[in-house]
Amino acid sequence: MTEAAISTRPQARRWREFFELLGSMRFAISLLVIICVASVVGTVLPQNQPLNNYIDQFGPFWAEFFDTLSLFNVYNAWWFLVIMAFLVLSTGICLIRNAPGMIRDSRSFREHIREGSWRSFPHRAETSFTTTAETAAQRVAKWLERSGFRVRTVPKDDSVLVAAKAGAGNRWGYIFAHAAIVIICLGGLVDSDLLIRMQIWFGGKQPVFENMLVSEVPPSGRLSVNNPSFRASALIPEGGQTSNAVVLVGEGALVQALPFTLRLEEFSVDYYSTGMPSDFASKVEITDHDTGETFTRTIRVNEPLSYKGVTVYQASFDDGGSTVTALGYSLDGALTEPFSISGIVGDTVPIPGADGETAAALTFTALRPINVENLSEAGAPAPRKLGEHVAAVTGSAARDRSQEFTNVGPSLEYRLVDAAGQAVEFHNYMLPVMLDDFPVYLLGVRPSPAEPFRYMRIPADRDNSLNEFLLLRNALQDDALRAEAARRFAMRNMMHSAREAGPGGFGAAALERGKAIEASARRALDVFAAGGLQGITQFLEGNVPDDELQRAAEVIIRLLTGAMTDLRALAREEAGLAPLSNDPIEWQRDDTWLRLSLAALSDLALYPAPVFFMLSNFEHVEASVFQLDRSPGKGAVYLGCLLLVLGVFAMFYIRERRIWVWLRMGDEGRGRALMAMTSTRRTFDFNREFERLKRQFEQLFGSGDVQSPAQDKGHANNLER
Amino acid sequence: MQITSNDEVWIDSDIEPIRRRFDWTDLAFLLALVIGAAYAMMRADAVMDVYDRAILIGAVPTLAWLAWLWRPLRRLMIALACTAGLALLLYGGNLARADEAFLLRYLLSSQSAIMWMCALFVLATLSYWIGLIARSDTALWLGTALSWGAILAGFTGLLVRWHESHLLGPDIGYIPVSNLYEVIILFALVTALFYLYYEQRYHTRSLGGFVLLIVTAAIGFLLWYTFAREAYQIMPLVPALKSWWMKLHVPANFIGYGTFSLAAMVAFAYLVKSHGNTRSWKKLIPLFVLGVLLVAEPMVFRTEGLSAYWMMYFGVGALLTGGILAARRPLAERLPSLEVLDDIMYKAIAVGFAFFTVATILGALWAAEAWGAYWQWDPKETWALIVWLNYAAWLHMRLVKGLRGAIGAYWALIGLLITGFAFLGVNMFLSGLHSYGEL
Repeated sequence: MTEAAISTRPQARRWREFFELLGSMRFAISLLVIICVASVVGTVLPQNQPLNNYIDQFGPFWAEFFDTLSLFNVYNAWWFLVIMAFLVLSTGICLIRNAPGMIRDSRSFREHIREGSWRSFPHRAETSFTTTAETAAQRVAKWLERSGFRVRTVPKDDSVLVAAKAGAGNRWGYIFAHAAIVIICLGGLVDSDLLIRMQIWFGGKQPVFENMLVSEVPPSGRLSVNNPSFRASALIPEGGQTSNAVVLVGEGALVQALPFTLRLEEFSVDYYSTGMPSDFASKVEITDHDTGETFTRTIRVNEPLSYKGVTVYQASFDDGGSTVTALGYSLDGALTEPFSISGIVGDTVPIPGADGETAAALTFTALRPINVENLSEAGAPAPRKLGEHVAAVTGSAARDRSQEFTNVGPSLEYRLVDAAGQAVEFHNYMLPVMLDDFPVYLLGVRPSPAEPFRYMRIPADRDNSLNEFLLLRNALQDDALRAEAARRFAMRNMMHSAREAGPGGFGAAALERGKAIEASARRALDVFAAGGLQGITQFLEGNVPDDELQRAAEVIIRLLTGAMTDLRALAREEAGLAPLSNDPIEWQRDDTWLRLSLAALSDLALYPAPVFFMLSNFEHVEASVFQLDRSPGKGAVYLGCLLLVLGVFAMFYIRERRIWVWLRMGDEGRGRALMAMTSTRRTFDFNREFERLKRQFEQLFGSGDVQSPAQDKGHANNLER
Repeated sequence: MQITSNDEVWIDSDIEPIRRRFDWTDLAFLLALVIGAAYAMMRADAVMDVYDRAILIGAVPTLAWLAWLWRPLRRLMIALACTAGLALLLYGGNLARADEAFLLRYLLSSQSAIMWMCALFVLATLSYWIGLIARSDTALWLGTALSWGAILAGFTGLLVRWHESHLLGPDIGYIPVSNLYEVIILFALVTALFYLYYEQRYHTRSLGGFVLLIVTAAIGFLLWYTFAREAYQIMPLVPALKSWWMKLHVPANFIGYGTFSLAAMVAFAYLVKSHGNTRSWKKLIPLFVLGVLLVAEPMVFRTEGLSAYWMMYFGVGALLTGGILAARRPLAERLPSLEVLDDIMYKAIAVGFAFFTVATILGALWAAEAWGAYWQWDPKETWALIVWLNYAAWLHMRLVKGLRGAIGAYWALIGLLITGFAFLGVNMFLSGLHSYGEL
């Protein structure tokens, strides 16, 4: 023996041990558990978000740490792929080691089993027969065949062995199920982004990180039309077309050439009667690059289009460059007339300030022609008896909720970035919305996209417009008008008191009181103009003792409301509008209008911009977002799935059983029959079946000591049944 | 049928469903199914595409086969045809009849039937427990009867709900397995149905109380969902769910969830029985903790605080768990043998695993069509994989390593925790493509 041979032996053994370990059950179970745990991590941590989000959430150290472990992209992490590779390897080794033996075994009847080993079977039975061994064997064979077994009769020297088996499919189940795992994993691997990454590592491809036009992307950023596996997306506006799609790789992108041109003719959204979307459909025209052939098709959610190995799915939709015209309403009193501004959704336009320089940049972020909102206000539920509660949920499940959902018309979202770089987002509805039975314009504000919009309500005037509210606002900012309103209010009040007091009531004291009222009203208006209702509260808290606060607040609100009524009339005069009519219904409406206006004016003090924009006109252009896939592994995965299902059902529901019956002639023409049964799984059902077969077996030749032919015949009949 | 905890009784039974003859009654039933399917085909022609039709045709032999495999299903289906058919007649195409026709108002309209199901399941649970504690065969029998009643009511409710959704608008109708409310009903029904199968198969009613506990918990959730959230109202489907795949994917999934839950409850019974003579409370602590965890699971996902309802639910659940453990000795005497429990547990997990495999694959096929990828590690998909791997490991240990006894039972209980998270938690906790039921 040479030294080399000696040294390779332990190594070979180590290899063998390693393979043993890979194919072992405990290794496989450990892998399953590890995959479970890793998968849990991937569902709990949000995946594939920009690193900054994670830094906000976990702090810089942990974000970096998790990132190093690829915890933000678990399912594509190298270590996850390694674990999966081990699973495939482990299953594969297990299969290679066991399958040949299983196939051989499932074909064999194991006729070599000796009669002598009968006693070692836990499930065994015996009986006797009076015919020849061959005849008895025939009867046994027939009985077993009828019981669903495949039978082989083997004559031995002085005896006959009937060997039977059933449920060989169980072993095939094992093979199918385990082969399926390997096939599915390999198919999945082909469809993952591995092939794209290989092209980046070894094919010189370079993802593009900056924004650029598709035509500007260099060849290193383009994937061939023959690329076998990709998952790309494409945004196409109505009337637009593309022959390229974008494959995202990490934070960069590659351009994937398509074998056809995809043109979007029309994108449409259908709605249910309740106003919720029921269908998204894109009518597309496909032009084949090779043949020049053209055809149209409609792609829907759940109805993709497959052409030349590429499947096109309706993924989502977006704005395709709608034109928007908005009216800007200045809030700083500089402009009384609204100014018009237009642009395309996604564009940024500068807003000139009073001094002619750019005061802010306006970006139209979204146009929504249809807004279905739930306008029902959840009030406090009325107390009900138990019976009524139950009655409320019985009957049909079709309680109509549709009235609560209303299409409130178009809305515009925009972002304003001021000179200091501070960005605020706005969401304004074009038309007034009925809230609490009064039409109001909704103006939404949020400081960051992470927060929900908070809406200010501006009541619509008698013409259903914003004009009168804006007049009132401008009047409130005007010193002279405020003074005049306070004077008129005091005057009105004095006249009223004088009428109440009768003749001679208009004395010096009354005049004095009138002056006081005028001063108070003036102050209420001034404080309100400067700080809104919040300002009034602060004023009261600073000037009135606590115990009189309540009463003082009531007084000042009455003063304010009264003075505002006069301010409104003044504003109308200034604008050359006719005085308000005295129709009582209109008056009631005006009361509500004024109350809501007070609240809105007060909120306006906190409005984060000196201007707001209302949608005045738009031309909506939709864009469809498609996902385009080529997944060559799909066939393999589906085949694997089929095998898996077949395998799992075969493993659980086909029980492999074997039966041996040895028949040997003894003395006095009586033969002895020994039966043994076994199964790979000795379950309850197996026990049960054995008991049944044992009973049948024992009665097969009559009940042991058969005396008369008549009895024998009886048993035979019994069998026929 | 005989109620007993005797180990040997099953041997005398000669139930061998595989070899049962196909007699004329089966033929008549098959014919009835064909006629029913043909009627449905004509009536609902406008709303079905070719796949829907294929599923309807495929349902005929499947149902006939199931009914042949387990006869009580045949009676159930005939009764269902009567109740749902009557409801259909009473509606006469007019939803408003639900408030006018007496039978619809109080019995057959979907919500009334579902409320009946809830009541009957709760009563069935009580009957089973009374029967178990008082050793009353009558009460146990009543438990079975009430469970069947609940199943009849529940399936009637779902079928009628299906019809109501079509009456709501020609474009709205869909099979009622689309949201959390509907699938919880399905879950309760499937679990109870499988339990009744094993009850008959193994001639024991003593497990009814245990298995119906989880059904009652589901009912508790359903009632809260109904009263507090008004989730019972039919809402139109989002476009992604408008597919015939739903008819296959969801029911297959809930056979899995149902049987896994059943297995866990049997595992609980197993552990109670195996601790029958345990004197030290220490050894019971893990079981108690697991029980309480399972009770707490539906509450963990509540995001905006806990209402009194859930506090009570938790209190009652924890008390019941403690009570069952305290009464372990008498209960252990009445439960079937450990071998029987172990076998039911294995069978249920095997059925569940097989159907869960099918469901996950169907889900992948559907995802490939609707979202453009058969697998994209969406949280629900991932958790389905976790559940699948967990039970795959359990089955490997059992079939290859011969795992039996307490460890397998504990594992099955932990399996329910994982399944529960995949079922409830993912929808509420983790965002993703599957967020159809929100709280």
